[in-house]
Amino acid sequence: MTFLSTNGHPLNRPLHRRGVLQGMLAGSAGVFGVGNVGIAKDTATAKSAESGQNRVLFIWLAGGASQFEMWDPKTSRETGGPFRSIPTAVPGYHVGELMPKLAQQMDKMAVVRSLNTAITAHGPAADLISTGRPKEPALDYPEIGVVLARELAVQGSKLPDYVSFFLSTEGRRRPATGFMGGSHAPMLLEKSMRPKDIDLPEGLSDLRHKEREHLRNLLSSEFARGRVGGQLVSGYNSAFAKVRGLMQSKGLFDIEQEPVTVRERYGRTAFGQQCLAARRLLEAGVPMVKVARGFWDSHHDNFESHRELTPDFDNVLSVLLTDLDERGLLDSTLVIVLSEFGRTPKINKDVGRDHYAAAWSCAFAGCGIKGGAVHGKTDADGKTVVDGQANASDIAATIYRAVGIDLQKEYHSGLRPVPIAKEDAKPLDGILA
Amino acid sequence: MRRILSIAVLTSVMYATTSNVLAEDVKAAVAHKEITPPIQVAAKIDGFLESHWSANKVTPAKRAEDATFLRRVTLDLTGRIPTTSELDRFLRDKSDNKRRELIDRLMNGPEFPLHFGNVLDQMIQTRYAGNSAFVDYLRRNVRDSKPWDVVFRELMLGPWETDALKPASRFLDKRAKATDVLAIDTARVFFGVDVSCAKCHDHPLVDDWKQEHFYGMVAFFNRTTGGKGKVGEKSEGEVTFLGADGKEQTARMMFLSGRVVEEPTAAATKSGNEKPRRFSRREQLVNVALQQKVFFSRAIVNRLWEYLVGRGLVDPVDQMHSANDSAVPGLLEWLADDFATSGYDLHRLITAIVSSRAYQLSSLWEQDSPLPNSSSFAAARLRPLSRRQLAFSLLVATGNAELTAPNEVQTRVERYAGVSGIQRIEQYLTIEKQTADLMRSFDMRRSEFHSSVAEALFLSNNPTAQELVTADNSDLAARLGKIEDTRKLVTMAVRNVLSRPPSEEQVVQLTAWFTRQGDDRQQASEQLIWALVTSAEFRFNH
Amino acid sequence: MKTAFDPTKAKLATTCEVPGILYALCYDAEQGTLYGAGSDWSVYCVDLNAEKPVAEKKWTNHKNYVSAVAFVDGNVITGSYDQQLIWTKAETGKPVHVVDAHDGWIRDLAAFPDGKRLASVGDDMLVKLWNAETGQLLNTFDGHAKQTPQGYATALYAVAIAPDGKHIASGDRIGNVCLWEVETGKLAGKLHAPTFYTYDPRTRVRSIGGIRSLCFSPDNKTLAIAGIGKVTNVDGFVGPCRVELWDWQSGKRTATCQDKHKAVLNHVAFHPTEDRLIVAGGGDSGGILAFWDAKKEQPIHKAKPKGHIQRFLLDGNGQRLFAAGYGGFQVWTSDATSN
Repeated sequence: MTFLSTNGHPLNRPLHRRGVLQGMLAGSAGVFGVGNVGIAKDTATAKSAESGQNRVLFIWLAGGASQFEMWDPKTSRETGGPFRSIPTAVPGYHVGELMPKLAQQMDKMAVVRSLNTAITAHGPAADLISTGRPKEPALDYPEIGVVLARELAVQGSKLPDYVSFFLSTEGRRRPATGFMGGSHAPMLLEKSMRPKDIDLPEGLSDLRHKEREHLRNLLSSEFARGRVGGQLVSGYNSAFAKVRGLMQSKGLFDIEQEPVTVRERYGRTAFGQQCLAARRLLEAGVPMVKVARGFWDSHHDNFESHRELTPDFDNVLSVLLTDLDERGLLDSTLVIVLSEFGRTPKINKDVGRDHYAAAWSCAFAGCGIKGGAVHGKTDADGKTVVDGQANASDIAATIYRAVGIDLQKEYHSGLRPVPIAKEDAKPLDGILA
Repeated sequence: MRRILSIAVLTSVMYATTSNVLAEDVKAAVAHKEITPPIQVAAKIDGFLESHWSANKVTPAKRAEDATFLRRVTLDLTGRIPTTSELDRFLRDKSDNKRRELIDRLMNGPEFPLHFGNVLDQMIQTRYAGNSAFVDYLRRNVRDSKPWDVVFRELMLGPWETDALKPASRFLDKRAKATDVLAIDTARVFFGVDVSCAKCHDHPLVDDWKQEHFYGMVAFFNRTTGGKGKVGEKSEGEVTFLGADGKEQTARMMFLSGRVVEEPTAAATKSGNEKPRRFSRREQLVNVALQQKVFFSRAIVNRLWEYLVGRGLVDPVDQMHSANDSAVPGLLEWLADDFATSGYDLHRLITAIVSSRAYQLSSLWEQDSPLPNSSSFAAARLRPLSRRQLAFSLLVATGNAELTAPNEVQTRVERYAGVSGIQRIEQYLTIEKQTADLMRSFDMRRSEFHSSVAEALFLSNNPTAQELVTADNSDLAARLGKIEDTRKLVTMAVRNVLSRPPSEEQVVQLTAWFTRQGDDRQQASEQLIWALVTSAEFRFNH
Repeated sequence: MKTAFDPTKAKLATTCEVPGILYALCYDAEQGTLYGAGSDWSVYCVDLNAEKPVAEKKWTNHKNYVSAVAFVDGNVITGSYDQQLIWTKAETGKPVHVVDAHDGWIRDLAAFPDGKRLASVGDDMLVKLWNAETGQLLNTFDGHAKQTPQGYATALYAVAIAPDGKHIASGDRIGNVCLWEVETGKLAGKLHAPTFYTYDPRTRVRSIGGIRSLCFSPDNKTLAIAGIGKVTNVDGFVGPCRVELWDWQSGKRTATCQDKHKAVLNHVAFHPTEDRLIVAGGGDSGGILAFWDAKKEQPIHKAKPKGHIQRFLLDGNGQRLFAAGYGGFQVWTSDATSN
């Protein structure tokens, strides 16, 4: 891995860099020099590094990425397609040739090759895998990210608990809060990487902005005294309390504040930029970030599509893993890579692959994950799971376990207690550290 | 002039073609059968609650102040805050009857049907709400006091041939392609029951609901076709399901009460030379449901109670079953029975509820004893405004909404056309158009309401939100900017926005704040308005 | 006088099934043998003189999809995604030359009319000129962008040789055609046909399309460019099938032929004698084999082939059309007599 110095000469990766970073993290209030992640007040990251705050980055490959072209190649089989497979840093484990960078970092990752989730329609499949629960008509389960945001939220933080990037429109899924209600609804970035309404209005000074909010808050609190249902006012006030914090941290969403070298590393694709923004948010202490890369649904011309999509994914994720690692964040950040299903072994007449949920893959890295672990196997043609079958609930349970959430913990939907994980879910111990 | 006339012609045509006869029928029935007037129903409600309070040793909150009551009931019945002239009129009125008269004015004014059509649309269509043809159909029903059982019949069976009734098919049409959803939504909306959990197995928590009940309801709908604008019903088709024992069963049509409907065999439908009458499963559902009455009447009564008071007598409103008791013993049962036996009159029911002492309690708990459980209804509670109410009220508060009384010519037009309120209808629909986009930036009202940061950001930073309070757009801001006496200024601001006169303390507080803002009085006025419209007192119904 | 291939009478006479997809084919007219390039790394052949022609797997010399095939002087020359060109002597099946030809998938191959040279194109975005006999590299032409405008992988799908052998055309994924002067190796011109490439920045954030086939007219005045028109849903070939005709020497487009049948046209050819085009491909509306009068917007006739066609060629008499694609070989005729 080489970086370019300011005069364009490549530097060798400085071994001391990580130490320098960690030293800075342990310091007190201020602005971090590296990456210019400005946090106005508290050093959320410093606190979290000390207190062991965990974070999650959920990379959602919307549309169904092909396991044949990525995690579970079947080169030289009729179902294999034209891509070769390449060895990885994990002896005996190969990935598709479109992921050379991740291949080198496979010792940081864990892969599950034996997903069988049965549902092959986009919407229902996405609901299943993102909630970890089969659909129940009377009970709306929250998306895994919503649960994670709630569990990992930092008290009193001025940052949002959950930021979700889904800028492409196809297959866009808003993380559902389900029965948990709106308190942990994510900040949705759907039209732009920048949150809406985050700039001071034109013609209004910052002082006036503060003054009027102060008055609003005062009037509201006075009104709430002795009122039945006053907690609605607290909720209302706390929404406004987040406004200035968000306005101040809008720089977090501004990747132009990153050095050019860093931006170039992530690349100029939208996905790369969003992952860079995600890293900034995670570093600042946002506990849950989701970045969706849509849309992988290559019914026709599957190989050309993966030729286009996969190298970008390979580059961005490997840069991200390295970046998190160097900043000392990888151990406390769970990285999830998931789709709603995989793609068919059969190559159709339009040189495409269709939806397939009987045998497919997902991947993890970071917090609580055993690097280099490969769970499960499919048959020679990738048609069925032959070992280590896992379902959506098992994946959800694995995720919760990885960040240290007690699977027995219960929420309440009305009066009904709802355990955080499905009762018969089995976390995949083989990939947990 | 020409425009007003053409609207008058249009409206009178509308009136002529709809059945005003229904309202007359009910009025006749009231006179003839001696259906108790709403005020007596209100007294009955109060009686039940007083027993309830005394049984639980609860002292309810005091009566809400006049200004509070005016604001609350205006929001609930017309979807907006009162204007300052409405406020002045009400506060100056010294008669004992003024609350009754206010209720009467609002219930019989032109805005009530317009607003309530929307309320019913949300209630009935839920995620499919917002279709203007359907909303206007509901508005006409409210205006003409169409009985609720007739509405139910129209939604389920039609006839849908006329322009006026065609929109009624929309409830079925939007759901016809998914029979399960159709059955579940019908049960939830019209019978107050969520049976969906009983689809895969007998309901895990509620003894009442077995798989048979779920599929029993589905069986009424499985022959229904539609989805492209035309609803029909096939003459055959069965519902089968896998029981918990794994064996396949054919579902019988079974209503929630357990009553099974048998389908007559082909032979039985013919008698002599009569043409065999087509058997409609959906029709059977309507007949059984209306005959049984209890589910049907309690569901709507409970929903309307929840809408007006903030919590259903049975909570949640779609969990009416034996293990979920109604909060005030006897009240829901009596009210629902009364509703059913006196013609399913929504107008009468709503009038009764808002006339009751329970509805008119203050939301302030000033006693030392802790606030009792919400099921005691011992005080009014904060309720979030709906997006529509908030948007409308924002425009009224900032002086952006036209709600003037008809002038001389307009009054003459109305008198000539024989219809009052045309001008107000036009004003309302204009505000509706103005607020269509604005509404979408606000949090939706729901039973588990949550204030989002997105709404707070919108109000704090979005240019559209800022424009609402600037002198260029806000009549109030422009007027305030010209007032030199700060005490007068802040008083006017509070009256216009919060629909009440400020207390002396508040005048002092706001005057001090205003003075601190510096020389630019126009800017300071705008920011004062902003703080008031974004304050909790404005955001919530209280 | 040669009987013209009457498109309105076109009918499927024979199919010879092959598992998977055949990406290319060539014809040994003397022996009456068809050779097909298979996705199972093999070359298949069909003896058309047999009573019941069947596809037979002949050689598996490559290590990936065989994507191009030409028959020159008794040799079957194949190009593959394994980046190699292999000359195989048809009679013996022995590889004569094995050349590491491109640094990327080889997509297309064309033999010069005099049979002395070959041109190949690959995803290294290079056109390479070869001695057809010795396999020696003669020249390399580099003129196509190495990435799409959005920074993603691109491809060089098509190559065609002018009837007089003096120019070569190469066409890429993003809709650019380079025209090369063979003798000098100079870039003679560039044509921009971006309609063939759809990048969707909003709903799916990726692309589909490309110039899939090129063909010079017999009079060397026109270059036909084939692919798919504007795609509405880049998950699939959901766009009108499209051919553009260009006066390549002046760099001006002279005609656009587009039909609402949603498909990518994988191959285009000029009829040897009639003033019309033949196109084939497949997509959302199914497979297509169409015959087009260049002067008309609409095709004269659309036939529904079995499966989607990747490539076709007309036999010397113009009486039969041989197609290769999903499921194997297809033989089409256009008169009463079959085969």
